[in-house]
Amino acid sequence: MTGGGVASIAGRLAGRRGRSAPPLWAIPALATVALVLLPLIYLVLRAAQNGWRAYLGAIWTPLVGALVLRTVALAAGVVALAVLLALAVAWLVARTDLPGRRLWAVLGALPLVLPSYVAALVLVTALGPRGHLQQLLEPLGVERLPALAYGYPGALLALALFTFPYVYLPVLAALRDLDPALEESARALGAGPWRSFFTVVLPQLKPALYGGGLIVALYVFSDFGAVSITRYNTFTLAIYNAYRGLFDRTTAAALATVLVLLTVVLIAAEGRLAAGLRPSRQRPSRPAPRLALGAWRWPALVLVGGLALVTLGLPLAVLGFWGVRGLLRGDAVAGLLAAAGNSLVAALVAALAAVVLSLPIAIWSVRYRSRLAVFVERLSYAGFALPGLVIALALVFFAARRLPALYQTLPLLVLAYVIRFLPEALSATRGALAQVTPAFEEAARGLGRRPLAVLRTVTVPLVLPGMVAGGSLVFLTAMKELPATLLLRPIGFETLATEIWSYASEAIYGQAALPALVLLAVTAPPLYLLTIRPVLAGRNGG
Amino acid sequence: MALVEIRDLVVAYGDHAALKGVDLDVAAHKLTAVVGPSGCGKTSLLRAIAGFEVPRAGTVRIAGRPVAGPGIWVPPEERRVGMVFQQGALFPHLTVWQNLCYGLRRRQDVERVERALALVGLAGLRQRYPDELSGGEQQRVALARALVPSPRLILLDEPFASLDAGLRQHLRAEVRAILERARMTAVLVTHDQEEALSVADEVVVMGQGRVLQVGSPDAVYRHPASLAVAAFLGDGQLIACEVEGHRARSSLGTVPSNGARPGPGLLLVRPEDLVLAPADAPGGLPGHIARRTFYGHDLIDEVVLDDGAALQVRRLSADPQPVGSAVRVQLRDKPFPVYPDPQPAGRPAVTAL
Repeated sequence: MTGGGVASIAGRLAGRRGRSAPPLWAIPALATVALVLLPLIYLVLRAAQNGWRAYLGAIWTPLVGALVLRTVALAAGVVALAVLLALAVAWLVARTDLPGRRLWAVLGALPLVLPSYVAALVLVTALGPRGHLQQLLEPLGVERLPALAYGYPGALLALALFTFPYVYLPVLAALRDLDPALEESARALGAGPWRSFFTVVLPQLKPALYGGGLIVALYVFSDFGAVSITRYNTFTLAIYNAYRGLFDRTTAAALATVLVLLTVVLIAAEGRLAAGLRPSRQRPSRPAPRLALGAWRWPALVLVGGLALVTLGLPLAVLGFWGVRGLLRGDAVAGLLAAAGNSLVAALVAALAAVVLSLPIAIWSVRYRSRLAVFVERLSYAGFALPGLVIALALVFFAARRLPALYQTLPLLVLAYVIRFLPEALSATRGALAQVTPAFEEAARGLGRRPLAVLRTVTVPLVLPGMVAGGSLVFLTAMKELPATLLLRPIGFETLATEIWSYASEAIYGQAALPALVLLAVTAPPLYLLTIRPVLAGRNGG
Repeated sequence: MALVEIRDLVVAYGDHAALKGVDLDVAAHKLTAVVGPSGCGKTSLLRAIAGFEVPRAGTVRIAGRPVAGPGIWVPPEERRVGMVFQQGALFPHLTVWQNLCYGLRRRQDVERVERALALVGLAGLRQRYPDELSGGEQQRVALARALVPSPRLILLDEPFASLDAGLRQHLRAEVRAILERARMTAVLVTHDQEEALSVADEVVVMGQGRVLQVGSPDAVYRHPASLAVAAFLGDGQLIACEVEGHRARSSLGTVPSNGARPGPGLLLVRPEDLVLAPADAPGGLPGHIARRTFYGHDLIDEVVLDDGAALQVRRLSADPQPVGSAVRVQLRDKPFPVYPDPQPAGRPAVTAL
């Protein structure tokens, strides 16, 4: 995305390539990246401990083939549906006179704040064979609804409806940054509105579509919450069942390596697709004209309104209904408070650790830009692509073998969060650092301060806003994290996420709704402020 | 013969009228420059001809065929009007060759693309992408692309504004030559008066949503239709005068009044309309050279008269009197435009434009 490009240009201007790395930054940075890579290495070792022949035998089975197909089919369906929804909503709010388009622009991005297991929970309770919709239709003689909320359609809906903002937000930003002179040139050259959209506008949206599509596909690959509640068997669910249900750790490890391989193939494919793109660097010369929808505004309003109703109205109504029922029956409010406290503590510690660890890597790679520094920075982003379940599984193996004292303790859970969410902290810290000219630091050195004193008195105060934003993002995503928490939490340590999931998977919706409401109340407003509003206000990129 | 005929054209955005009733004929096979300060409506006029703005009222005809008017609307892709934008607006995902082919109606017509590439002298760059071209090359490709579908006219929207000064002058001359070779009718919008005067066959001066004057570059510069046109095109000074019968009397001398109404008037005197004579020469007003701005081939002297008024005088830089010299300022012997003074009360002898 553009933020990385701007940051890397600024970094190249600010940094002095090739200067030798001071051990002050290099040592903690190398230690952090070793920590990030350790579980992955251990996972491979564990999968291959009975020899490569045994490993190949474990993964070369019809079951694994079926899992690959099911996982890829789900990801393809979710990406396709998300892209369609994202294109439609972004185009309507950016390029037409749709009534209330400012409101729809915000509402289109909001589903992002719902974790997938809450989305799936809502869909299952509302659209299940004997869910709320069936109850409403019962007087009409509808005894059962088709099992739309379960299996492939259920997982598809739960994931696509709530991840499409990952495509919608960058597409909206790209549409707004697109110079209308390009479309007008196409029109003046004889192309009608459709041809100019498909031959000129759509190619310019490709970077946003590929980037957003990659995030959605990675989300599907790593999702555990939605597929477990809708009972659609993908890799994550199979790994979890092998590990928890069958206590078959070798199979779990083998499956996890295949999932990692799938992820690597996906990222490489997106890289190849995106490599040939030539995004426009021309700034818009004037605001794009808006198409008058005329009578088409009614179907358009039905689309955006229906989407908001399903993705926002339905969750609020369903969770509110069950939440109030739960409260009236006085269900486990004490347990709820304990779970909320546990979530807060684990996420807070993880956020602090991730931000602190991100600083040496950022300083090393932005200020010195040696090959090693850049390579180390790249490696630190590995957690972004690794499913949380895989990280957790690897840490379980590692702790069980090497550090039994850590097994099922809070530090191990925090370590999993740090590995998984370090990229969020790092990109915020490096972005903030790239904006700060090194002249400030040089001035402080010139005034007689030592490197650590410069860090404390100049660098950190200047990059603090970026670090706080990055840390908040880590905190919020760690609050919602499910699969790693399920595997690594200490015995009896319930968080909001585990409470929601375990009650939802046992169909005790009244108990699941209250923690879900608390989780949303805590995470939704800051997530909106941190991730949605900057893009909608056009402050993305740098 | 007029290729584009515009009558009573009104273009408005909400409550703001960008064009308030414009009449204009664009001559065929000529380069017409539309010039005016920003916000004068010149870009709206161009976009209304191209079909990117739907007028509130009025008609536009191209080659005799109405394209906008009451109950008539021809979309841009059917108008056969080429457009060149400020930054070229080349499609970044297509090569130069693919950009040029975009406007082809039939595959067989590729030799038209070859001809257009040769015309702008960029045949060697066909496989490049736009981001691999310099600013000047991008604009030449944009012009070639607009020429490929054989449009009836080409519209250029500030095509040189994003280039640096040296390149701008060079490209201006080249674009003019290309348009002449193609015998193309063109309308160029610019806020740069020098560009309009140097490149165009005909200049349209606009202000506040109206056409103020249409004429040859020489005519609009030498004989501005109003003080507003005079102030926008070129610099100089207004000398207070008294119009009596066929003559206008001023402190610098008496000149023909060009039919201006009797009463207090203003004489438009460009810096090059004044001559500096030696201090002991007869005629003119005494003063001294107070300040000099040197441009190389020419210079502008600010002469402060003995009564305190300051005059701008332009002359060639060969062998001028030194700064501080006493001189006499004289009017050249030529007709001067005279305008009725809108605010004669308290008018100083000299007002800078």
